[in-house]
Amino acid sequence: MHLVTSEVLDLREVAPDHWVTTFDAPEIAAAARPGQFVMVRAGPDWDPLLPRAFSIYHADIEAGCVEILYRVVGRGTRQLATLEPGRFATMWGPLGRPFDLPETERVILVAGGVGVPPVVFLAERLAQAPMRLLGLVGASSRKFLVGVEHLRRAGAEVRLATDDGSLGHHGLVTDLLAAALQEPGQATIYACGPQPMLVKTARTALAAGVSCQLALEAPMACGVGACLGCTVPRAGGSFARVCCEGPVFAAQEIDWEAWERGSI
Amino acid sequence: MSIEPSLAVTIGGLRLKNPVMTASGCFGWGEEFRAYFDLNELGALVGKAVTAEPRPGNTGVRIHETPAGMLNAIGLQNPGVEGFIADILPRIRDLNCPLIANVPGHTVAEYVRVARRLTEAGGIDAIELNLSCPNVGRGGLEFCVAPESVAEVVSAVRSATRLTLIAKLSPNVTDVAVLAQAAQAAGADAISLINTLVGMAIDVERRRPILGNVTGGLSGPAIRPVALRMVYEVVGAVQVPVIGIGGIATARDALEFLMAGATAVQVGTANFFNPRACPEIIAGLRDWLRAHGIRDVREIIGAARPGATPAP
Repeated sequence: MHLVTSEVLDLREVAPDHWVTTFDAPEIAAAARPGQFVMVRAGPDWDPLLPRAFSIYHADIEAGCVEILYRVVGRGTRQLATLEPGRFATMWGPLGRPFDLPETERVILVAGGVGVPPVVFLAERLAQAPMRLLGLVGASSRKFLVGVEHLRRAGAEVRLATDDGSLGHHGLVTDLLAAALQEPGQATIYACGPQPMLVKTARTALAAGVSCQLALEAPMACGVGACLGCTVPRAGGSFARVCCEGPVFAAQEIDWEAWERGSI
Repeated sequence: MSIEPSLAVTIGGLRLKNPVMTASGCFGWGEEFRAYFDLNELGALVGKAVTAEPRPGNTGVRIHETPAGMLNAIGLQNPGVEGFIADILPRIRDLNCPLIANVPGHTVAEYVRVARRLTEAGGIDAIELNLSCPNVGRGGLEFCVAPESVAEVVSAVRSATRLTLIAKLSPNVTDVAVLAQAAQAAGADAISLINTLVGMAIDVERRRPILGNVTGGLSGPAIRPVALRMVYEVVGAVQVPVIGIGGIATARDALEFLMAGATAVQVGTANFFNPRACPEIIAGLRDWLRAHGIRDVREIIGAARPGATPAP
C-alpha cells in the first residue's frame, strides 16, 4: 500500500461523460493486481470531502502509471475530470482483495458499463496465459461501450449487448452469459458492473455450478476498512467490508437477496 | 538551535505524549492505519465502540457525503466486548500509546458490565462513555439528554472501574454545559465532545431518505464551528479536562480547540479522507509552537478565553 501525490499524465474522454485519467504512480502500478482499487482525492479542499474509490483499469509497471476509467456522476468525478495533465491528486492503494487467477480452460469476463476496468486489467494479465478469454460487455447504448478494444487486444473474443439494440445483442449482457455457459469447456466467470447485473451473474453462476468472482461497488468513505460504510451482507449473516474483504467476492460469499433489498 | 516544544498533556490518569487522539468509529482499532503511519505517534488511540453483545450494524446505505461533511449510520457494528477482548485486544495491547475504549449502552447495567470486563481484561487505559450515539434505536440517546441519566451512568461506571473515565457528550441537546457538569459531579475525569449532529438526506428522484436508518450523524469540517462553540462553553462550565472533537482536519483546526480551552483533541472523519491526518496534525502543532517560540503546548490551552494573556 502506498500513499502518494500523483501527477496526472493524461486525461481523455472515451465516451460521453466517460473519462480515463492516467496517473504517474510507479509504486502503485508495480503492486497492483486485477480487481484492486485506488482511493483518489482530486483536490485539497473540503468539498467534495471524501476520496473516491476507482477500480484499476490499467497498471503499466514499466511506464510506472495507473489508469482509471470513470463516468462523471457527481461532484467528485466532475472534479476529477477537470484535472488536466500536470496537475496532481492524492492517491492511495492498491487496496482490497484482487481476483484469484483462473485455472480453467475458459475465462468468461462479464462487464456492464463503467464496470469494465477490473476485467480489462485481468484480461491484460492473462493475455499470455493458455486459456481462452471471452469478454461479454454490455451498456445502455453503443456509444457507452468502453474498454472493448483492450479486451480484443488481450486476445479475448468479445460479444456485446446494448439495452437499446444499437450494437450487438439487443438486451442484457447476462443473456449472453447464459448462452456462453452452454458452450463446451470448463469456465471461470469474472464480473463487474451495476448491482442488477452482478446479482443476475452470481445467480446464473451458482445455478450452473460455475466458479464466479465478482467485483462489488459500495459507497465508501475511507477505502481502508475503518468507516464500515461499504459493508455488504454475507451469506449466512454478518457484513463484509467491500474495501477489505472485497471488492472481489466469490458468488457464494454474498447474500445477494439481502444486498439487493438493502440498496434498491 | 531552537528547543523542541513539549506536546505532553494529562487527562485524568493518562499522560499523553501529545494532545491528538483518534475519534471513536473513525479509526477502527488502528490496524487499518498501520500501513500509513506508526500508531505509537498518537497521543492516544480511541477505538470503535464496544457493546455488551455483538452488533451486526445497520442494513442499507450507511454513509452519504454532504457539503464539507458526511452522514453516517453504521449502527455500532462491533464484535461485542467478549469478541473484542478475545480477538482484537491481543493485537493492539502492546502499542506504546494509551488505548481508550468507547462504550455505548442501552441500560446502566450494560455500561457497567462492559466497563468492568474491559477493566478486568487489562490493556485498556481509559473508558470513554458514549452517552450520545444517534444511530441505534433507543441507543445512548436516552442517556444524553437528561443530566440525571448522565449522572446515573457515570456514577455507576465510576464505581465499577479504576480506569480514567471520559464522558462523551451529544450535541443534540438543549444545554450541553449542564450535562457536562452532571458528568463531572458524578465522577468523570474528563469530558469529550461533540459526537455527531443528527441529520438526514433525501434522494429526490426516488423520493426517500438515502440512509437505511433514515437519519444519521453529521461529521466533518461542516460541524467544526458548532463543536468549537460547545467546547468553549463546556470548558467554562467544568474544571476537569475537556477533549475537543468535531471536524478537526489540520493543525490549525486543533489549535482552535486548544485555544478554546480543550486539553486535547480527537480526529475523526479526517482519517477517512487523509489516512495520515493524525501524524500531520501532530507535526503541524509542533511546527506552529516552534515558529511562535512556545515551549509547551499547555501554554496555549485556553489562550482564546476571556482573561487569557493576549498574543505577543
